[in-house]
Amino acid sequence: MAASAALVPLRASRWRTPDASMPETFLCPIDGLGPGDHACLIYDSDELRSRALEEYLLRGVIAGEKVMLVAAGDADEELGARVRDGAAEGQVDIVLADAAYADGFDADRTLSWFEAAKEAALVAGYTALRAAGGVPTDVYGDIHTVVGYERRANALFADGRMVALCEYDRRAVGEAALLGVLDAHRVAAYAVAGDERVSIETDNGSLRLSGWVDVGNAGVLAPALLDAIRRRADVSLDLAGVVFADVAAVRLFADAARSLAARGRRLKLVSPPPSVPLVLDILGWGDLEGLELA
Amino acid sequence: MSGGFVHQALVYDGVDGFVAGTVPFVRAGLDAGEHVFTVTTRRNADALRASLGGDAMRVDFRDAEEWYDAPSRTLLAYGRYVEAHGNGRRVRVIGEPIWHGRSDAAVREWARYESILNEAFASSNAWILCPYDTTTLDSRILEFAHATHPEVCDADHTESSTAYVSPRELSAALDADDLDDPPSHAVALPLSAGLGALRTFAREHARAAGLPDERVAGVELAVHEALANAVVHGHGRGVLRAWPLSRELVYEVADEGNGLRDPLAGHLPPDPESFGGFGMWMARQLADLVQVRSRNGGTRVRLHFRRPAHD
Repeated sequence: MAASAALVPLRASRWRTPDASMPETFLCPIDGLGPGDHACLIYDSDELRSRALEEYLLRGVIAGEKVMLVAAGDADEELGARVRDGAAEGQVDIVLADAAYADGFDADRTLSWFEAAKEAALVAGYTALRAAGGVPTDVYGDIHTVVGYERRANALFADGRMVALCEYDRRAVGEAALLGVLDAHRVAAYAVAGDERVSIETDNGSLRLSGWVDVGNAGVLAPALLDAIRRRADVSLDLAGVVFADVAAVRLFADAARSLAARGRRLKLVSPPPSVPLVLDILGWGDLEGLELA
Repeated sequence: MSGGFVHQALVYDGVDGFVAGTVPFVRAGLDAGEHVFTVTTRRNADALRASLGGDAMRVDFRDAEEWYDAPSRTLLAYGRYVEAHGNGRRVRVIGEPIWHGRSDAAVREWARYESILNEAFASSNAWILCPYDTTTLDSRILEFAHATHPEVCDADHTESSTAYVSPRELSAALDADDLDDPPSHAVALPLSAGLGALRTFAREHARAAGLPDERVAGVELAVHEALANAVVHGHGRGVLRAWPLSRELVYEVADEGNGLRDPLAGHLPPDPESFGGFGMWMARQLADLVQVRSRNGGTRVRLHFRRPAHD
């Protein structure tokens, strides 16, 4: 997968780490997505979503991939047109969501359609198909259909010739569906302004978190963490105000630590809630390179 | 000969029988430069030490009452032990599980643990010898021994166990009986309340049951992971229940998922691709006992946590 090259590999041991090649889930920046990645984009701000989408599509143009945007409205059409302007002839396709899903959402039909588009892209000489779009929001309530579809879609990425960004509006998707969506994708990108359950502040060079961090909102921290990894020497996370952190949160911290370790730096977790050392101990990550608990 | 993984049940009668069945195993290991680890009762350990004489110092002894704490925790402890002491040489284990004083539910889970060893260590070259005392164990547990060990031996000879079944098959047999209904004093909260409210509910019940803060954090995490798993597989429909018993606190996460689950989910270190695998593994490490029953129409996960002594 495109982004995991930047992480220090985990020791291969069945009993101390699940697998040496564990993919990162939350800490992949949009510009790190590449063929083989099946990513979801969780957004709650139309502006942030557009920015993420544009960056993602442009990356595909630069990489010589076939780019396909399922446009949800006028703003998307304009965005698509901008991207197309900078691309080679025929490289960017814009499909109108309303037209594509005019007869309602059908998982089989949609999967076949993507399969065919991928096939056509490869035949035309592109290195991969890069797709972006979302299922119609009126399908969000049918969790079984949505999650089943995304799980089946994973097969399209096995050969490393497709990358997709599947967008979900956090304002309309319920918690259960959101967890299902996160579970079905290997990578989750977030385009959200914030989260009422966890807040991040910069305080004297360290990041202070308050609230709780779990699988439902861990991705919200990714942009701030990625920024800190890029800019700071060592990164210090003050967790004194964090009342709960689950396995997903610890994996996020572990990925940040590994990313820093690859740069010869460290992540320091200050006053973590008890669940953090508990999870680290059970997973056998107590002595993970780049991670320090204080 | 240093071969692959061996898992045998040693059927013995009384302390003398234990010694007769284990001394040759220990000596053969020591002579071959292998690492020998023994987890048994105090009485058996003392007798074995006496018999080994000076060689007793070369064997690592642990107390079974402490070691056999919870099935998945014990499995992880063995896994890490064998890995740490392997170093290219074989590890021999004499591991005598504790059966007395266990509830029926616990006996089933420990039988399942014995069975899962076959899968967990399949690619290792460990030799695990599990002693079973015919003078103290009832026939049901001895039958489990035959079903969970590919070979059964006594002091004089070894033979294949004709009653041996695969871990999946044994799990299915153990799960043939459904769980009893929760008691009438169980309190419930629907999964639709959201993970935050469900965790608060879990914490409050843990505190009310007298669990100290350090344990409450583990309870909260275990229940959360089981809930997140249920929300994903049950598509958000289900119920969390909690009820105290005299010696334990029990939570049950019941979801309306499609009921098709890998019966060994969460019993072995997780597949990194899925959140679900991590969650159940975590829950099994944190809880003192976990029961799972999956039927079309739903899955029930019960997490048991020991309560401190109280009146």
